[in-house]
Amino acid sequence: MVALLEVEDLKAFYGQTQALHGVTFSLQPGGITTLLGANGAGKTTTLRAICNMVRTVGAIRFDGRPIEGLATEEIVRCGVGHVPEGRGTFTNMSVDENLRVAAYTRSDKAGVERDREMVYEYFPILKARLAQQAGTLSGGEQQMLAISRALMLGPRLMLLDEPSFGLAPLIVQEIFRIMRRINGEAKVGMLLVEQNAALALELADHAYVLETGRIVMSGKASDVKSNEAIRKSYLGY
Amino acid sequence: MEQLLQQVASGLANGAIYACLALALVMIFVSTDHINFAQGELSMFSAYLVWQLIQWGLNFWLALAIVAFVSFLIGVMVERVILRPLHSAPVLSIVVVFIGLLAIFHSLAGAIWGHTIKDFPSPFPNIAFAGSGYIGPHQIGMILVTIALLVALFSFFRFTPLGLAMRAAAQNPASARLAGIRVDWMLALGWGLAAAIGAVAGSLVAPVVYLEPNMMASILLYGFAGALVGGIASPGGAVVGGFIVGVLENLIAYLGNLLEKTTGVYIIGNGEKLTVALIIVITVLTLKPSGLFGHVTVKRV
Amino acid sequence: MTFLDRRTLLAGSGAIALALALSPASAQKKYDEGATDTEIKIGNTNPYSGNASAYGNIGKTIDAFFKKVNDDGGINGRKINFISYDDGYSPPKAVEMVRKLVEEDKVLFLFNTLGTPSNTAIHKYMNQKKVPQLFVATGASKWGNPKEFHWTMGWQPDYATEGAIYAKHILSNVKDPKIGILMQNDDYGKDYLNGFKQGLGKDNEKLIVELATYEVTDPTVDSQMIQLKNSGANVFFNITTPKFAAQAIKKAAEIGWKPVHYLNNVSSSFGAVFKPAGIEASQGIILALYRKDPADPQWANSPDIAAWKAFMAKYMPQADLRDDSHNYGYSVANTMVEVLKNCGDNLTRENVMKQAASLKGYEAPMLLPGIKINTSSTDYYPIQAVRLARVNGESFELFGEVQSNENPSQ
Ligand SMILES: Nc1ncnc2c1ncn2[C@@H]1O[C@H](COP(=O)(O)OP(=O)(O)OP(=O)(O)O)[C@@H](O)[C@H]1O
Ligand SMILES: [Mg+2]
Repeated sequence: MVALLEVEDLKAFYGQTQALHGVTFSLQPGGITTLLGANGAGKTTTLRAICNMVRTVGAIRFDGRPIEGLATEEIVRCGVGHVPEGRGTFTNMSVDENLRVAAYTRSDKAGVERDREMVYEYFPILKARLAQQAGTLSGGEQQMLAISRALMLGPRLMLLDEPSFGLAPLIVQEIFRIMRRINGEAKVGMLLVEQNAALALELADHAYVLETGRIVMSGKASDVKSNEAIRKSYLGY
Repeated sequence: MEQLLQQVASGLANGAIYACLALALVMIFVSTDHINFAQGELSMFSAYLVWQLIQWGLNFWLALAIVAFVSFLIGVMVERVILRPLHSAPVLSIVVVFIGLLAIFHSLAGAIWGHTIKDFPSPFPNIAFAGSGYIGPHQIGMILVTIALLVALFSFFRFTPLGLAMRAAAQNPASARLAGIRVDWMLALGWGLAAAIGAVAGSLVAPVVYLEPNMMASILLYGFAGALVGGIASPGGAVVGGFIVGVLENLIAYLGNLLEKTTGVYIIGNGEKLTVALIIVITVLTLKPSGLFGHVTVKRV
Repeated sequence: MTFLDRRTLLAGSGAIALALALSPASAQKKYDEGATDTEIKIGNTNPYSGNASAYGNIGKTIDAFFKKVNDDGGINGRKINFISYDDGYSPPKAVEMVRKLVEEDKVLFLFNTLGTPSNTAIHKYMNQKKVPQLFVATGASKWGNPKEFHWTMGWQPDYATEGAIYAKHILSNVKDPKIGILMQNDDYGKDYLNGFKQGLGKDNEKLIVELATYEVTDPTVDSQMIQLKNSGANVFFNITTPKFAAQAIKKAAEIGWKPVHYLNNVSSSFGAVFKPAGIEASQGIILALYRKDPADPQWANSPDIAAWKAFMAKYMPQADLRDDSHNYGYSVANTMVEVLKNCGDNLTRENVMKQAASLKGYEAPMLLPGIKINTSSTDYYPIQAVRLARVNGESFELFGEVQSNENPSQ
């Protein structure tokens, strides 16, 4: 079986500083993989590197097809939905407009309509907020909108950068529950970046641990979770 | 009273001129976040192209349609060829490029068509109607075309996917890319549309102020003022702002003259119109930085 | 300072060497820098590029005319070397070019440098250097002030003179005049206004019921025209440059204001004013002229017009004959040649100035019949007479006598 995403010896640079020092990992279709690590480990950078948003060296294959060097928007058009750090909603636009922009690349009207309904089902609150300016939504609502926007692309892989960031535990649980549903029902593979390791390991089936730009550990989520030594030394709980 | 009405009508007519150019300015701002100082000269150049086609025997509207399309291509080219390599350059270098463009189009027009003013035909029928003592048919036509342009633009940005994508690309290029939007092309498209609107603005202004390489220099200033008063990010605001500036400058002079007539005290008059208009712009911007009709935007840079 | 001294010394020794080499008959020949037995070097600046480049045709016409003079044998055996630089109508550029002309090219004098701003910028310099700045191409009234500026002289009727003539014409021809004025708010406009007020006289200044000004940066003068119409004025004195003149004429027609309309000579152009404004709307406008309109059939047989046409055909075959610059350039260049002829073999700067200030009844080609050039050591205004004309169809119809403001008391 071809891996959904394969990353090989990936290096990333911000100007002169190197943030990734040869990262290699892969994702199986349909699964949820989590990328863990402390602040500044390079998690966000890895997601950015996949979408060519930083200067990168290395091989990246999506569905067996090399995508390194493609422009961000072209990688997105291959079916990669990136929910970036900070959510990246268009704050001046209404919720409705945000969702329409998200479906900009699609020409299948019926499919877009169906995905709209799906989004409303996952996040009924958004339907009630359609006309509201995205910038005025609550943090949880904004995160829901960010995930919905990635969904409206009709992606095969979602890159999620700390969806729990800054949200109340109850909301986080709600969002993670929906993410599991999306993964199962919409057959979307997920690469989830989290600092909240306990939560992420609950959801994911595979885990990688990053430390200063290098992968220092990987394995099944259940193994990592149950291995106290690893938890203590890398994940701090 | 009679004169007051006439001054307001004439202010509205001038306002339409400013509003039209303000629309083009807003167009570029909305799609690229830049203020295009070369917009006036681009419009002027397009107006010369229309004039040339009319000289060659084409009808006004056909000539305008052709030139609007050609201007669109020129706008796209300017963005792709000249501005594209400067995407990450500091604002100051981009301003310098705009000023360079201004000088180029200005001297090009002078070299090709000379500096003597040229008569530019009005596309609107010269008919008398009730109230034509207050405002001419061309002025009314100009106001209508400006409003039509505004409605068209408004709908484009509101309702079409392409319009939405252009707004998205301008507001947050990184996020727009993550929505699969080809941001570079959106910028070029914005330039193209602004150039096309500029062609309409130039061709409507020329019958009033006469065609010459300088014709847009001061209008750009007023158009800019209008756009700022109304909100540089809002097409509707820019048009209303243009009209406000047009009417206001006439009223200022009118009231100043009236005051001088009745009391003999000179405070303001025709000479201070522009100054007062600019003071109003600054006041508005101080009290409401995004303009009267702009949304408050908190930008993360 | 040392540099200056050395140059004076060099020029002096050159003169001595020349005197030694030449026959005794040449003893009365006198030269300053820029003049020799074979050559007279004349400097000039013109806007050959930029916004005002239409005026550059004046420089081109002068150049062509001096070629003709040289082809015909020159002046008293000397060829004219006319050096004309582009100043783009920019005063700083003009200063730079004029310094080059005076200090490097070492011209005998400057002739017909163009534009009020540029001439103002070099005014002091030329007088400090004691190099003539002759027959400048501007109508400002400040060029006729020999007491303070011995080395500078204008040529055409100055704005103040012209303004005064309109005022006198209004007083004697319009019953119960109420005057509205549209004026460009700068020195040029004020020059006209001051002359106009002088012509009216103190007591009659109250006849001015409305004075509306505009700035060159104003997009239109529409609001000023409405203001003027509502003042109830029945006479309109229009002090505007071509674009605004055209706007004003058109707007007056649009709002149905029909005063007796006087327009300054600055905008006496069919191509740049009356045609764009609308020939219909321009009918009856009164303005002052001092040169013949070559298109006017009544001059078809006058010798100067024929000579001008022959000159244009031979030396400027591509030119647009309706461009007034060719007419103006030809006339002023003829005046210059007349002065140089009168200089004889005494080509010092002082003598050039003296001869320029000694023209008596000279009828330069193209001047309207009855208009003569008179100058003296106290009268530095060569042309001070005009004739009034009306726009009639697509040409000017002259009427009335020559109006003169000779020997003003200023
Ligand atoms: N724009 C940037 N310019 C320079 N260095 C950067 C930039 N963004 C990130 N870095 C550096 O790259 C390294 C990795 O940063 P990254 O954002 O990938 O960490 P992270 O694992 O996502 O951390 P966090 O959990 O705090 O989000 C850090 O040392 C950071 O300082
Ligand atoms: Mg991060």
